[in-house]
Amino acid sequence: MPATWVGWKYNIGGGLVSLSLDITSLSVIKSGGGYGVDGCGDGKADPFDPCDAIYTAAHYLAKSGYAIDPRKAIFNYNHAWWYVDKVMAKADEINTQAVYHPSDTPEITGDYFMVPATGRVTSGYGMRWGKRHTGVDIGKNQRPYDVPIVAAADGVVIRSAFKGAYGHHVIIKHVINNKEYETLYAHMTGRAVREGQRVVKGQFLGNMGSTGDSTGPHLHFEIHEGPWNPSRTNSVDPVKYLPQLKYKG
Amino acid sequence: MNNIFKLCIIIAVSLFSLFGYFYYKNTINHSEEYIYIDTATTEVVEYIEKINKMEEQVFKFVDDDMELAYLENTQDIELKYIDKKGVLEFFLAAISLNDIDLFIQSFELYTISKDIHSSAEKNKDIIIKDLISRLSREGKLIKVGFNEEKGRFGATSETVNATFFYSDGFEATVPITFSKTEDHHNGEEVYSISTSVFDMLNIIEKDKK
Repeated sequence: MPATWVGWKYNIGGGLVSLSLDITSLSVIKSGGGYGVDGCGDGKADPFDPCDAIYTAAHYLAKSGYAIDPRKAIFNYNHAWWYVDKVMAKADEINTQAVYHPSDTPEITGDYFMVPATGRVTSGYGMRWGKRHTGVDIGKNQRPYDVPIVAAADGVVIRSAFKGAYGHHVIIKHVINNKEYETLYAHMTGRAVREGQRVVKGQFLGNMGSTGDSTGPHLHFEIHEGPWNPSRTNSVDPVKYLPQLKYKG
Repeated sequence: MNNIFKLCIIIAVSLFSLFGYFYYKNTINHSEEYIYIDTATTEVVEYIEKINKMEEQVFKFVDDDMELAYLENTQDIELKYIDKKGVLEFFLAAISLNDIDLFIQSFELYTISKDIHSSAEKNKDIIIKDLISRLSREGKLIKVGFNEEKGRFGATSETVNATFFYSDGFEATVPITFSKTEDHHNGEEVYSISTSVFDMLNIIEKDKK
């Protein structure tokens, strides 16, 4: 309802608001105590923008106590238990069954690890540039479409976060031949996996981006023998673990 | 008339000589230097220690999400890799130290990736250690003659003739080609070796027989 979006103080009856009211205005929403959120960062909260709508729904559910009781929070939106059942069933379906198959995915190879994205490797591991680079970079170059990043091997997501120089990044823990490894994927535009989720080799994690400290869209990819740590002392050269690099772009 | 003809001949010969001299200077001039494996190793170890110390200092105050790629450069290291001779010094140090990571870093990524996947052996460390041992002829490598051919009007070629000298008196001259890669982190171009290790070994091990 418009009044829920922009604030019930603007309600003119039945949850509607005046047609002259700018319901996308962040200041109007703030003043009205509405739930509208500018999810995509374009300076307005537009209910017809899917990005803003998703963030707003999440905001509404959070304020309705979703963390404590998800069913009750959803009930609060429509006051009907059949609706709650339907939403929960659809969420479970998406969560457990939906698989996104993006285009331009790298070939799934039989090695322990696969190359996690297509594109030319633009920076290698090591000290070539007078500093330690603890992974390899794969460039997006001039490709105008989303370039997917996939899990290099089967494992469990132990970190999915937006933070610091890595920007949107994911860390996956793998056990291969009874040995623990962790792989890290950084600078993505967003994240399609959550912490604790089990992933399979080749599963979509997110798209190449430039979040965090990055000068252009690329994937920064690390492999660690053992756990990732702030000093990256367990990092190893991915070239030794990946199949033969072939794509020169 | 006779004097004019003589004058023309003298001018023509002078011009030809002058042109020949500059052509020789700029086209086939060789400047051989030697890189001693012990000296190169000492220098490279010092540079690596510099980076390690810099990182130790940085980790005293940065949070855990600092990506090392974006730390300030240690210019000495960078200067090594923007120069072909510097890359060869790292290459020799890697051989001397039996340092697998340093060895890989000396090469263009697609070249070394192809080389280490030429064998079905899953443990690539074993393959690289074998390559290092064969290049050094089991630790006998003592120096490399670095002969950078200059092209027309001072332009340097991307291929150098590297003569490998061994302690048992054996020597082999290997043409080594370099390629440039631009780093998108800071826009600098650095060199790496784009000649396959197996192409080097084909010459060294052929000459040995």
